[in-house]
Amino acid sequence: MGHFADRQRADRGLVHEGRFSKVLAHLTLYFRFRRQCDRARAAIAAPRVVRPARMLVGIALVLLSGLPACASQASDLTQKSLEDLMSIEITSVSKKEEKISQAAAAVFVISREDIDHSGALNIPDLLRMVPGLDVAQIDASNWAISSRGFNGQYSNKLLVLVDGRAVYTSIFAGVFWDSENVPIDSIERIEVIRGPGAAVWGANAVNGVINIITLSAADTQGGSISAGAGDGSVAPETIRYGAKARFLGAYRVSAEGFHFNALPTLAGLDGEDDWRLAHGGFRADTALSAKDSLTTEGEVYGGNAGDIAFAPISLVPPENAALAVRDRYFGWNLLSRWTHTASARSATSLQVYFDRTKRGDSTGVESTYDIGQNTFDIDFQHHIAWGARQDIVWGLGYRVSSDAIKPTFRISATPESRGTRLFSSFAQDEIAIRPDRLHLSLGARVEHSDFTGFNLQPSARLTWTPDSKNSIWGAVSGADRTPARSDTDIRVNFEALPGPGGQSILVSLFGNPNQKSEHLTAFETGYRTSFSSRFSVDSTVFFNRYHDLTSVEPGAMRIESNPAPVHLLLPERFGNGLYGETHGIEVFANWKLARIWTLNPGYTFFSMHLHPFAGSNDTGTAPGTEGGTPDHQAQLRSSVSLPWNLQWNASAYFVNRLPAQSIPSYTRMDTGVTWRLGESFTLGVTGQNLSKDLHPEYSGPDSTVQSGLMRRAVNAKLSWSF
Amino acid sequence: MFRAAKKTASAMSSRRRRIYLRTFVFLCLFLSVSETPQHAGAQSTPGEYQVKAAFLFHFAQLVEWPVGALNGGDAFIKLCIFADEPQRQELQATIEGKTIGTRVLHVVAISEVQEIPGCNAIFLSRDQARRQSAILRSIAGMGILTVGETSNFLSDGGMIRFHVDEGKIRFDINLDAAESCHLQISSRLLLLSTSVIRGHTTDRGR
Repeated sequence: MGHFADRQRADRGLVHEGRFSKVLAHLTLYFRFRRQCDRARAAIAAPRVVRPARMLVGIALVLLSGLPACASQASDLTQKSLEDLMSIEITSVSKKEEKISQAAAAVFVISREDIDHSGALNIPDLLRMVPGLDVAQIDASNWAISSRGFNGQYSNKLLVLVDGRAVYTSIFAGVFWDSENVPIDSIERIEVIRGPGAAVWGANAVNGVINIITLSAADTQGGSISAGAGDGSVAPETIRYGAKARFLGAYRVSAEGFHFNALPTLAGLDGEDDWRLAHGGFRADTALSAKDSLTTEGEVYGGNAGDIAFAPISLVPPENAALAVRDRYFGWNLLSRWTHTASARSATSLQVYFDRTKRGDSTGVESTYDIGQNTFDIDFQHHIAWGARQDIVWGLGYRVSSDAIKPTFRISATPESRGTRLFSSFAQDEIAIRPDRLHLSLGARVEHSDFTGFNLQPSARLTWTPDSKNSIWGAVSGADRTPARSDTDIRVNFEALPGPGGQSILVSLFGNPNQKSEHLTAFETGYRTSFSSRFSVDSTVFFNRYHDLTSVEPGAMRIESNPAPVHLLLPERFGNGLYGETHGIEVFANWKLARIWTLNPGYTFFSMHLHPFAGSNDTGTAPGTEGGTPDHQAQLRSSVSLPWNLQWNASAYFVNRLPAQSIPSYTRMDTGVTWRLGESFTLGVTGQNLSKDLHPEYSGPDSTVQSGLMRRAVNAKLSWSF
Repeated sequence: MFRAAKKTASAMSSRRRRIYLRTFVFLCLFLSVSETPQHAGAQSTPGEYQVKAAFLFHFAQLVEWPVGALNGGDAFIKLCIFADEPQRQELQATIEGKTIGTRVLHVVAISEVQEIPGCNAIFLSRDQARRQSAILRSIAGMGILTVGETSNFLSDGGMIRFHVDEGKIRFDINLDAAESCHLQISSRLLLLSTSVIRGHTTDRGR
């Protein structure tokens, strides 16, 4: 009767809590139903009373949730010969998931081994190794990360997920890299898909998807303490402990903290942008039965970073000031995912998460922004092999987020606080036209957002594998970047200038309530070949066409009296005034020169042309965006396993200049040595930016912090696991 | 009359119950079939550990223990498993109580090293990786067949290691480790293995 109480509670309101308990009720009922199935089987021989009402509710719920129950028992496998057993395919669901992402698309996976050897201190540093990704550090705690163009501090065409949780902030549809900091010791792998993934992953997966997957609790048993320090940082200090509890299964808890020193500004002055973060997390993987598993994880973090912000503060001179502000952020989230593997051919998962983010800055007196956001998301997925040749994944999702943007002189929003909903459904069918040779994958996602109504994002992908050494794929897909609050509801007072007659001129950017989705049609093709077991090459060519790209349209100057005093307003407003094309080539290779030595060269060419539609007066956005992504990037990574458990890694990254930002080309060299001392100690020493001290990487007009110069730094880290 | 009515009612309700029950059983069966529409009525694909259990059964058949090493006058083969709950269930359900010739295979789940004495074979699942080398060291030379699945299982001194190649289960054998415990591994098993470590060299098999 527990579910009854939950129903009533849900009816009374408290949407989040009600929904969650509904899911719990679902779960309880489902298991109750399964138990009843078992009982009923026994009852065929000896009939027994089964409570009909309860049972029917159970059936209805199970049917509704699409969860097959009462799986048939496999026949006696011990009767099969060893040869027969060796021919059984045991595709586990997780492998299928990998297959989805590795299907005809430009995929790169950063493995646990890569992470161990990299010596990277944070996720953006790790992402530099992904060919085709544009990673540029802005200051000590901010990065601009994107693939295939449109890079910026608030890149909004890239989807980032941590264990299935979208980590973007729906206020501006981008990622705050400074607060999304999964301890890298707990990451199992990072899958990066360049190009659109919207058909499966949803809106914002326009130019790429970064999928961060953490280690399961079973893989992090025991304790681990690591401490690091260097001339750029005290970072990161991590403590982690994993164990097993009787009813919970494997679990782990972890805490991490770090402090990165401030970087100099482009002018060589102290940027005062030192960055501190504390992070706590847990994960539990509970086996509910042989076929059901429950993953529950959560994190809580708090951090702050300094910045010198040039902002308008008043409409009487002096209008602008350089404010020494401190950005402060705090957040927590909780995710739970129930996976039911009915058989190797059918699996379902139900995931719920809640995420709370709050951030703002302050000088102690004044603040330039102050935002908070709650997101609740529920997602259902069903993966089923249909017949011998079809592999179907479909799912439904619902996300509701509510935010509050407190007005400051610099940033305000109308309405101040707003709830937005997003419904989505998707289906993808992978068809083996000729098994192991020719695969066609058709997918589409239909979403309904409060901003733009319905939108359809289809994709068709074809892979041809003529033999085990060669594989050619091609794809055509559509993807949308749906507007966010920052496109529709916001007002940003950029700067105030002294004007005629003692009146100030305020330059302000306004959101456009009629802003449409930015639309992409992408054409991609790729070729993977292994010349031998030691040398393989992966190459991708793409051509993208964008429509209705966001532009900034200047308006006519007018007099405004609120905020007081009366002043001149030079308004600018978002529009969809741009269209354009991008194309590029991404090539990388894996070359095992010797058993102990691996080389990874990579090269990316990128070109972008944007044009205004007739009627658009935006002349600044196109050149700024075109010149904000390097046209050539090259990298060479080397990894050598030395005797005495020593591992030596070195990497060089060449990034060509950013003409729109006057950032000269640079070559960044990092190297690191890790030494495993016995079974429980690991010592790592890493050097970053060794070739050149003090170079800038990004200084885009969109960035809201002062750009810094990247410093040469050496860091040492000692880990002890017990 | 009252009695009769009561009787009818109870007969009704018991009939109704039976109908419900039948519908329910039918639904169960329907659902179990509808899970795998392409194999209507046929069995579903077995889970990884069900298949591995069947392999373990064959290993027990194709490995010869020294005379007197087995339990109960060589009547039982005791297979001990270090594994988490779902794997343990799949393993036990598939092979517990099966007979190998005149011997009965007895599958026991254990969690501590102290429980090992008396085991003839042990299986260490992937999630035991952390204590794997400690376990293997503690039983070196005890005449126990060891089967595992982590990449360094053989280098840690284990005897048979599962790996998965393109979705299919394969295994490697460390013959040195087996021979040092006086376990005889049949040539059939050696032939089917992917690689065999013998005299500190590795022979590539299939």
